[in-house]
Amino acid sequence: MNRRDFFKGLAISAFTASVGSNLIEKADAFTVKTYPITTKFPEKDKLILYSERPPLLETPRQYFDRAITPNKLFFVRWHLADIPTYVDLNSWRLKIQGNVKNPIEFSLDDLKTKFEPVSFYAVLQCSGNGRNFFKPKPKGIHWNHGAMGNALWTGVRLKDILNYAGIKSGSIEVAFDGLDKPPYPKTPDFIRSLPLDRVLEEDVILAYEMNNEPLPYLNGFPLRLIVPGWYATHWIKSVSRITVLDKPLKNFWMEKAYKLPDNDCECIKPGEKPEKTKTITTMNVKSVIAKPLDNSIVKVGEVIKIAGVAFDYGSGIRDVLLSFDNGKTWEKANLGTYLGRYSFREWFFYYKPKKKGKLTIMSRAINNDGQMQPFEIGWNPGGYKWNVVDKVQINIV
Amino acid sequence: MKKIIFLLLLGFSTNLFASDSKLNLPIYSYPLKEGKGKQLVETYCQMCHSVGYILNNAGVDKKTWEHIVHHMIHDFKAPIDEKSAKEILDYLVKNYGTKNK
Ligand code: HEC
Repeated sequence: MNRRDFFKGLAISAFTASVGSNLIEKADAFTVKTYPITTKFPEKDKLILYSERPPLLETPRQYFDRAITPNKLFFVRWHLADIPTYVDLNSWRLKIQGNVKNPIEFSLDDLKTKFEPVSFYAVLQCSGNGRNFFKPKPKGIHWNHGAMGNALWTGVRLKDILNYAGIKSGSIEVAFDGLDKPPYPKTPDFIRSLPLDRVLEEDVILAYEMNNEPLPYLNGFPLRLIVPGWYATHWIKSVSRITVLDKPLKNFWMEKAYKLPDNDCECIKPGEKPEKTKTITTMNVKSVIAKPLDNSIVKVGEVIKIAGVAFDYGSGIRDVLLSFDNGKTWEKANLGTYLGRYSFREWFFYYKPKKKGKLTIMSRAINNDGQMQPFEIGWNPGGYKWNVVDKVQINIV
Repeated sequence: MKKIIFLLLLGFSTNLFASDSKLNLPIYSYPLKEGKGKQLVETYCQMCHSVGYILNNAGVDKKTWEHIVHHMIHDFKAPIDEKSAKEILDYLVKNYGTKNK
């Protein structure tokens, strides 16, 4: 695939934007209906720009041909624009407070030396990843597939830290506050809580490394909460204060944001109001086709590699199936190395186009609990949990 | 064809603190479509975030824009008076509504 096709293939946005190409680096010039690719962010390589204040940057689809997302290509999403751009580790402390026997502070060094380090791969995915595919368009950031990534997270178990401080009886939730602040002081600060029983599980950690490096500032330096299997809204960035609570945390972010309709389909008719809502938690089973990109041109008889990733909430991926006849028949893709139940599972398939014309390639993942990607899903006001069978169309010439 | 131009006005970074260790984030300027209410949008809707948020939501219907403006005032405490909010809403619906995807 040549460079032009590469950029042409980014045309998956419903939004028209064209860039004053003379003002952007030559390599970034394109004329398709999509957002500009930016290379202007420190710590980051080519990402799709939605906003710089706060930074909202999406990973282009073609990078999901590999299980591990490099830090430089990892998507960026903040809620409040006053984000940490410098942290002095000499004075930075993690505070543990609230319903604990010994309120305590840790330096990053304390965390690294006092507790057993833990490492695992886990997918970080925004609740609204794929929001752009919902019709009608829900409000929010209109991510395509790239508000997700997979990294090796290294850190300490939250359980160990909380036990060190001593959880008092009657505790039910743990609240996490990061260094990000609202630019307008009356805007509610981004603070979220998790149920205590989830927090005490072995796999909830505070990570100080991402892919064996300190976390980029843009991904939550120096410490990020990792809640594998759960959507990114729970993975608080730049955590600096942890409060154990004996009653539920009440604020805008907990009471109104990141809610799903509380019914079987987690859906409503567009325009209607859900009767009851619940907080979004676990991810669903999903596969994404990274390559070839939509509208790629390939030659009859020339073998192409179809590649992508698949993941779920932690049961693990059993199979990824591909269809070349709009879902009538399915063929198994080859699965890459298993990197743990919360990781992306790489998959690939070699395909030889037989005749000229347009061809739709579909991918469908099935997890170890037997759940598979649906052909369609109901609408929800937040535009959350998009996991419909993925599709790309290629042009065979 | 209607084009929304993403203009990269300032290609340089915000080097406010001139320290090597501080992360320098770029600044972008997103010219909004001309029209009545544009100035109010520029005044009120860039206080807390870039107007990239607005362009990214282009194409939503009137009810959704109403919801968004109300959400900014009610939940995020945007200090916008009723009259200005109405004019902003009209501008958004006209320039970034369902006909302006
Ligand atoms: C007082 C601060 C503040 C002001 C002023 C403000 N916003 Fe927002 N806005 C926010 C915050 C905070 C979010 C982000 C929420 C998030 O990222 O989850 C947001 C998000 C948005 C979004 C994304 C959709 C959504 O609901 O999350 C849109 C669109 C938006 N704002 C439009 C506007 C418009 C139009 C105005 C001017 C009328 C405006 N904002 C003024 C704080 C503000």
